[in-house]
Amino acid sequence: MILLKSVSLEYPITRTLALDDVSLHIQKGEFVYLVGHSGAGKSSFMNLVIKRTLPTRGTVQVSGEPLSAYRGRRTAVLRRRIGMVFQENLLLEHLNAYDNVAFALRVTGVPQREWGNRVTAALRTVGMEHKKYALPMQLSQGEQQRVAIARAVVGDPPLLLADEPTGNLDPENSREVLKVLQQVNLRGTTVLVATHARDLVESFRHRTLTLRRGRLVRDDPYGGYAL
Amino acid sequence: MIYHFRQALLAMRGNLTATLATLGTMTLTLLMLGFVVLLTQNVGRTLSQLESQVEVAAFLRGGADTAGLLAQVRALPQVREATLISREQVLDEMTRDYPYARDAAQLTGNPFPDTLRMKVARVQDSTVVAASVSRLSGVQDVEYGAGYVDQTVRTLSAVRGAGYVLVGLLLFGTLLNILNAVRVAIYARRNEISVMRLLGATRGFIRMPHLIEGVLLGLLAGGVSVGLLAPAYFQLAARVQALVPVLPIISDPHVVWPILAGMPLLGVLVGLVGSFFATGRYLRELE
Repeated sequence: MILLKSVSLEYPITRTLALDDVSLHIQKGEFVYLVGHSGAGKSSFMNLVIKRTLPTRGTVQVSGEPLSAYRGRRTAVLRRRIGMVFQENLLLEHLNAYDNVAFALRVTGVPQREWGNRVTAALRTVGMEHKKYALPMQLSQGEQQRVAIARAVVGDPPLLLADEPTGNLDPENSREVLKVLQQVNLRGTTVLVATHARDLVESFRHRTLTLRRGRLVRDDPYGGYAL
Repeated sequence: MIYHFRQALLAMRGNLTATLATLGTMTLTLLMLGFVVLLTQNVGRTLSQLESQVEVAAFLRGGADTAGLLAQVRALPQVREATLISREQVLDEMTRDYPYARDAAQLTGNPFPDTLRMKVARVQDSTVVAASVSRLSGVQDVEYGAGYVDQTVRTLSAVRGAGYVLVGLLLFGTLLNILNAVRVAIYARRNEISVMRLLGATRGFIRMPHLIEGVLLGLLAGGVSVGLLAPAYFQLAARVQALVPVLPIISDPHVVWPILAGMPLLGVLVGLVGSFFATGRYLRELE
């Protein structure tokens, strides 16, 4: 699903080495944590996968194709295969939960007649079906994050990336969000969660990749947080 | 498409000041352009008429070989047409314009000489033809109206050129205004656009509302300018025609309306191009 071969990423303006010679392989259907302190390279890793940035050295493959194969219109195709959830949920304030989720289908050209079933199913998966008409400001942070997850998975992407999805949440809501992500993974979606929430990584054990100053220092198939 | 159209209208309403500024500039530019194009058409027609009327007249001495002279001037390459007018025909013409001319001729005799009248292919050739003909034996004097025609042609051409330069500058200004208006609209939608890109929206999908916005602005500006220019032009044409009947003012709707119809089309084109560049630049920055 995701393959990195000797990947380095240096930001030219600040000359910061965000990723340093990272090689790894994430298989289809896996649930993987990406852990590390702030500045360890977690977000840079995510940005590489969605082609927000390109590696300085090495190759990145997503769904069997190198990033260089996704050019122009194909960049959009790549992103349709990847659901994204961020610390800031990036919901559109003027749209209710239903419309926020449907927005993902609208922008990718899914016919409107399909929206109803798919949006309802996605909201049901995250346990938000009963609040589909609520605006983001009427929802708690945890609920907003769950709607954001519904929006990320409504297009049935084979890969879901979550960058600090619990960063703004209290422990209880964090656990709820993690449970939802696990449910998504159980449906066959590969899930990659970048986090520094030690308790969650310890509680819901999955393969854990540890980054330190841009280097992959540990790849623990049984999980556990060790920095 | 309905979604894009609605988004375009929302963007226009949301940035009303920028929208009105762009609309105003575009309308003024198109008005100016329409005016200059119509002026140019009229200038062109006036120039053609002037050129077709330019004549070189050679006054012959008594006893000159008129047939030989006629053959010689016809042989000049710049001469399109040449006719010999006898002194009696000249007197007849003068009598039509000035009835007392015949009375005067009866008292003193016909004062007019035989005359060769030549039409030139191009108004600039008048000087050359006049010089050549004046050297022919039997020619007493030569007259031509190139002096004032040349000046008129130069003045009218300068007016036309200045108009084009002004319109060019205004079009450029309008393009910048469109760029600015669309950039403001994009900035207002930046969160939505970021989300769209992450969700896999194509560039075409993101830029569509802004292209529609450009087209709508162009169409509106074109419509307003035609609405203002059409009645104003027809009224002005009628007044000028009444004041100076000799001017060949264009007032035929079959000629005027195609020119006016081009204004909204140009507005749409400018709007489209402006929006295309503005969105393209913004999307490149995002990548």
